[in-house]
Amino acid sequence: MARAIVTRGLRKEFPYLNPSPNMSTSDQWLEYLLSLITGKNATGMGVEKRRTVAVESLDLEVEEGEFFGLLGPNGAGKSTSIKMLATILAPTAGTATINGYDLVRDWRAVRASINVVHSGGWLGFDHELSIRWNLQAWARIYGLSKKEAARRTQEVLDIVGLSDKAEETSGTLSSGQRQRLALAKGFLMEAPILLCDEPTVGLDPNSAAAVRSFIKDDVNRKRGITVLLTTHYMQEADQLCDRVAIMDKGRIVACDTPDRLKASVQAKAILMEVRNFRIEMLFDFKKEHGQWLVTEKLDQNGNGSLRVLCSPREAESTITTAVEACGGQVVGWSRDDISLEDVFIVLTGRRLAA
Amino acid sequence: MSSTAMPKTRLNLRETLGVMSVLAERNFRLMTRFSASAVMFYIGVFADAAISAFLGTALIGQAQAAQIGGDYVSYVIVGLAYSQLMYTSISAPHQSLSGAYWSARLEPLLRAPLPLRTIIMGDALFSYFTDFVTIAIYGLVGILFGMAMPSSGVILPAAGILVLGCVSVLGFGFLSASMFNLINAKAPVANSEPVQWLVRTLQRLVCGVYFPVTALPGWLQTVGNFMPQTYVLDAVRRLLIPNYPKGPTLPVHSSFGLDPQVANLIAIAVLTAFILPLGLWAFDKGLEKARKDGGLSRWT
Repeated sequence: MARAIVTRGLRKEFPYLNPSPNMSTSDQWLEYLLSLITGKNATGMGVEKRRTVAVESLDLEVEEGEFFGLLGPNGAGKSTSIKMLATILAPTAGTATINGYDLVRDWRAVRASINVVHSGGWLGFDHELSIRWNLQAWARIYGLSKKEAARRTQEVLDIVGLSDKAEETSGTLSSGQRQRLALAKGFLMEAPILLCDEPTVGLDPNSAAAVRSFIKDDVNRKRGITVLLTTHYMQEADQLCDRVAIMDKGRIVACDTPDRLKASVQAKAILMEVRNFRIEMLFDFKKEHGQWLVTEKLDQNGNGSLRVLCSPREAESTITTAVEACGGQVVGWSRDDISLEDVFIVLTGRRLAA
Repeated sequence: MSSTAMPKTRLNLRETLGVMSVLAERNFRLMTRFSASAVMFYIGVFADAAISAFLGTALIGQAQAAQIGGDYVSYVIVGLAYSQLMYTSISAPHQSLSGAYWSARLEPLLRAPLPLRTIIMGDALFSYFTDFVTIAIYGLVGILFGMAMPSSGVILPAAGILVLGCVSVLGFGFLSASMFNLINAKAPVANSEPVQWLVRTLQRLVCGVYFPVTALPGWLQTVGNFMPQTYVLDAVRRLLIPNYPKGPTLPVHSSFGLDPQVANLIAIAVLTAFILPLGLWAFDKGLEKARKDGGLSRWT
């Protein structure tokens, strides 16, 4: 199968100025201009030039028609990666091909090969003008004739289920409908690859489910469009993606199908129902048993559940005894499935979401 | 899938003009949404022109009037009208880029199959159309204050100089827009961008919008020599004001022994050949820098 996206050591560093907090903007300009003229970092003059590495090294191979996920916490470098692939940001190093075209050399062909949808996509609409007019205008800006733009606008409105809202303005839409509007804009041109940057951020569960279903069923399965989705929702990645790359601190730390990633974790998850396990007891428990990764859902009386990720060799009775030794009461336990979040925790030692 | 919505890598001239027209239509639709604001703006234009004409008729003595063809109203109305168009060339690129950035339209615009410069120009197009309303108001004020009417034969050459004038200072406009990324001049407030502020101030001070350049101290006249607006305004006044002096009116006219109008056109061409490529080069450099440091993204 042909590869839709290939990246090799793609890296992005951002230069930035770190001004002294009491410098005015015009002082910063002046200092920066001086640093440009002298060719030196203006350290000592109040401004220091530093670099932030957003993407350390991105190595990906996404096949045609695949639904591929980039899963990672905020700040992992997912959006930066998408922006590089969308030719909005210039890579600092590395190479990439999109639909067979070189990302830097053939940027025009790359742009013609992709559609981009991101969580704030509806922001670029003129909220004083109708949804239909906005979409038609974007279609024309992307090169369609007036007639083609009108036809295509109606098609995408039908696809995202917003035909009945076409004459309204985007300000009247719910957050889920706005996200569908962003998707509609992303589909004005029929490109073979869709780059989707956190499309369900901020949506309620029903709207998020509708957007996910649309991208998976209508876009990927029905139309065969390759999808590269970034998300920090592990369930989203698990539910949608054929393969997932787990990203942390600008690097891919693992890449495989969700099932194989979960199977690769040498751990088991125990879900315990507890009573009277107050917060101070929980602290003691976590302190004494640092080898276990514990997450909890407890009310103020300490009633609720504990989820313990531990070695497969660990006996459930050992954990039950440990909880009771800290003052809690275990009323039952069961095995829980390993999730992509567990994979992330095992690989990085941190949780995915704050 | 239908085949007509396949993405394109480049647009032909007809498609490019289509994009420019849709951008102009967008601005027209947005303006008509805020029609009260537009009406108030044009009332302000009328008042400003009337104030200038009043001041001219009340304060300009006969000796000074002789230097400008004896008709200060015509002098200042032509100056205001043409400087308005040139001001649009200076300010529209930065305004357009800034508007796209702050309204989260810049990233999607960058994915369009035509250069950002062309999109910026399409966005600016509507500002030129609104300028024609402004010019008509200036003309109305001129008629009310007894401005001498030009003959119909000079309308076409005057329109040619008008286009030349707009193009000649467009380089300043792109230079101004480049500052958006080069020095991070992104604040959407007046005078926050230094090139635009400087050129606009100099245009009013040293290019002969309100008074003849020869009324300035010598060093300021020298500054005016390097501004294409100086020559555009002189050239158009020679066409539109019947009694405008035929001899040299600018320092450069006496230097080369050429016909003043020919000298004006040469000066405009030379300055345009320098400023326009400089502006476009700086604009591209700004974009290149922004693609490196992430300055094109605001909201996403």
